[in-house]
Amino acid sequence: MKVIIALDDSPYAKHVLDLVCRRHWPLDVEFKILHVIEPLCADAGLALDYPDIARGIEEQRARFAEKLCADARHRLEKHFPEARVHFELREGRAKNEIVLAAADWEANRIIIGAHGKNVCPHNLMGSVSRSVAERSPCSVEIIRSGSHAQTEKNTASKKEAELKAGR
Amino acid sequence: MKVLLALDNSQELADCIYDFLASHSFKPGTEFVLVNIIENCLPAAVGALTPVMVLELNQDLCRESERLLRGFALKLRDLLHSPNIRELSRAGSAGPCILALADEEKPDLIVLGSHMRKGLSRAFLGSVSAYVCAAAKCSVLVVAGGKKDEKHRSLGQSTNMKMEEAKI
Repeated sequence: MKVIIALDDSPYAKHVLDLVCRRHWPLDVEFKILHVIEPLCADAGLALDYPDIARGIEEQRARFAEKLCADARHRLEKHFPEARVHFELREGRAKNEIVLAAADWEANRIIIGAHGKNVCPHNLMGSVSRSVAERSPCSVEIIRSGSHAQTEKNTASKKEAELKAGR
Repeated sequence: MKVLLALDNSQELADCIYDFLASHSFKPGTEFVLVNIIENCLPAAVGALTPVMVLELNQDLCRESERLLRGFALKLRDLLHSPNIRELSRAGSAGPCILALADEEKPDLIVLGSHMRKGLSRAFLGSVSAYVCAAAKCSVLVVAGGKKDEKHRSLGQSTNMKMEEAKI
C-alpha cells in the first residue's frame, strides 16, 4: 500500500506525523513524505528586484524543506522499521503538486492536515486540503488535531499532571 | 480508536469502502459504528404519488437499507474479526446526519465514500464528502469511488495534455 504524507512547515505537520505513527499499517506499507515548495519569491517580485537575496531565500527554503523531510523520514523509519520510506520535494502550487504526485506514484492514500500555515478560527478547512480532497485520484484522509481521542488523551494527561501536583 | 463508517444506501460505495478496509489494518479493539443514511428524496415526487405509494416506497427503502447494512456488517465481521461493530440507520440529509451522529458517537475517524462527481453535477447536487470534510471535528477519510487505475490514468492524461498545451 502506498501512502503519501503531505507535510508543510506549519506546526500542524507534527500532529499529522504523530497520528501516522500511532496508527496500525499493513506490512506492505510504503510511505512517501511529500513537501511542496511554493514559489514565494516570484509572487512578491523580489526575484526581479533583488536576485541575490531571492536566491538566498530559495536556498534556505530548500535546505529547510530537506531537513523537514529527512527528520520525518527518520521518525517513520524508527517507528516502522519494516516500511519503506521515501521523500520527495516538489516545486509549484501545493494543491496541484500533491494530486500530481499521487497520480505519478499511483498512491492509495494521501494524508494531509486540515489546516496549513494560514490557520484562522473561522477557516474550518484549508484551501489546499479542500482542493486535494476534491481532485485526488485516490482516497484522502484529512487530519484534525481536535479528534476526540486526542482531546481525551490531553484531558487524561492534564488529570495526571494535576494529581502529581497535588501529591 | 473509534471509526464511523458512513454508507449512503448504495451498494457501489459500500463495495468501495469494503475494498479500502480490506487493504488496511486497524488496531485490535477498534470500535466500528456502521451507519446507513437514507436520503429524503421522496418529497420531490410526492405530488405524483398517493400517500399509500409514498408509504410503500419508504418501506422499500428501509428494507433495502437494512439488507445493505446487515450484509456489509457480516462481511466486515469476517474481514476484521472484530465483534465491536454496531449498525445504525438514519433518515435525512446525509451531511448533517453524519455530523450529528459524529457528535453523539465521538469517533476518531469518519470514513465515507465519494462518488467523484465533477463540474456541474457537483455544483447542483452538492457533495456530502465536501460538507463533512469542512465541518467535522475529527479526521475524515474520503474513499475514492470508481476504479483507481482509471482515475490515475485519466489524471495523467489531463496533466500531459496541459503540459503539451503549455509547450504550444
